[in-house]
Amino acid sequence: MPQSVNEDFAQLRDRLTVALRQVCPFWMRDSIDDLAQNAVMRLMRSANRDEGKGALTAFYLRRVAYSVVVDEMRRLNRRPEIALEDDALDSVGRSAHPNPERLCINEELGLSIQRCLARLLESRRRAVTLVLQGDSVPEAAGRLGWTTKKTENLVYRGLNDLRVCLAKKGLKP
Amino acid sequence: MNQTEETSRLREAFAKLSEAADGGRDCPPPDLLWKAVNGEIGRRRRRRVIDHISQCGRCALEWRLAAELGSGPEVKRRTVGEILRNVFGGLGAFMLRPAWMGTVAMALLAIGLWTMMPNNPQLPPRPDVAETIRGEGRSDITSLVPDTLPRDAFVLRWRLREGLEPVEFTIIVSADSEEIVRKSALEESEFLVPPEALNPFPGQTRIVWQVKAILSDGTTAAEGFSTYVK
Repeated sequence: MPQSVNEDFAQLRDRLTVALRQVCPFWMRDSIDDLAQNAVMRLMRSANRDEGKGALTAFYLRRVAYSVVVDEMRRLNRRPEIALEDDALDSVGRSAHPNPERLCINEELGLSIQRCLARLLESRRRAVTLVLQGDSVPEAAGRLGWTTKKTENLVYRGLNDLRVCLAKKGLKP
Repeated sequence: MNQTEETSRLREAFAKLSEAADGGRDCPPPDLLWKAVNGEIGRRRRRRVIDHISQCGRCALEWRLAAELGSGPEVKRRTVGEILRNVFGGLGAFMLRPAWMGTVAMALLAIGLWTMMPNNPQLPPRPDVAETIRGEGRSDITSLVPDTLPRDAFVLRWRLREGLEPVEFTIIVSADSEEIVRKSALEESEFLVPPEALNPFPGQTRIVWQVKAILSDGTTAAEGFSTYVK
């Protein structure tokens, strides 16, 4: 395999690792390096088989890596139980959420947000969901095929509805 | 707490759901999630995926991962619909909608049948298109339906004046001075009146319908029309 291709895969693994660190729940953090490494290994094997069939774009590689990682995450998620050993307990202690009280409040708030979202008007729910997923208003507008102005209006109204719904449940973000 | 802090707090709590989420049987496959995030599928399918992630913490997490990975210098591919929409605005989207052919066919059939019918002196004279009841001066909303529609395909359609950007519509349908149907938060500028709502009314009943639009600049526009049941 040419050197440049190997560099592509190394870059892909790094990118995958960074992305996984950004989004993965704390219980999956210990598996991130393995997830990224396994995905890249599978891609490399596949690339070896298909050598000469044409260059793989970085975007394509990321897409395949994504599918491999998600399949693996879903498989991990299906595991019924994992015994907590000492080092696992340590890793919980070192998690990004050191405050258990805040952890609980967030969980309750998260569930309430989900329930309140289900009650929002369709267009507002979609706009607010994307913003809660980390999109800016222009990004959400692009995904939904609406103008920025329209999306901004829906986000404003949707967040307002969400606030009212949460307040009725005695919650304040 | 300012709005930015509040939004990040909501985001944090929403993301927290993914920690314990199991997902369900109806979760979209990873490939579909990727396509939805990167604009490789049509708007309707993408919206269905967004509806799903609003209620599924696991898929919400997978969406965020796809967004993290997918962002890059590559030009995102657009669907034919998006390209047409950008080029022709609302008309492009409409032309792509399979339902438009059915709607036009029904409208043409209704007009054809009406012109073939012998003149009935008891019926009031009618304009060629649905009569505008309210709205002074330049209309912000224009009806796109003929003056008579069959009760089983009573599809009301309208158009906003050029330059106006709708957020959502509300439609109120009345007969004999009584409201029979009301629908809010419509995204499309058309609405099918359920046939059962029209069943109590005999042919030639005048149906009055009002469209209210919330516009992207925060203002509203409203207009009333009337159409007869065939």
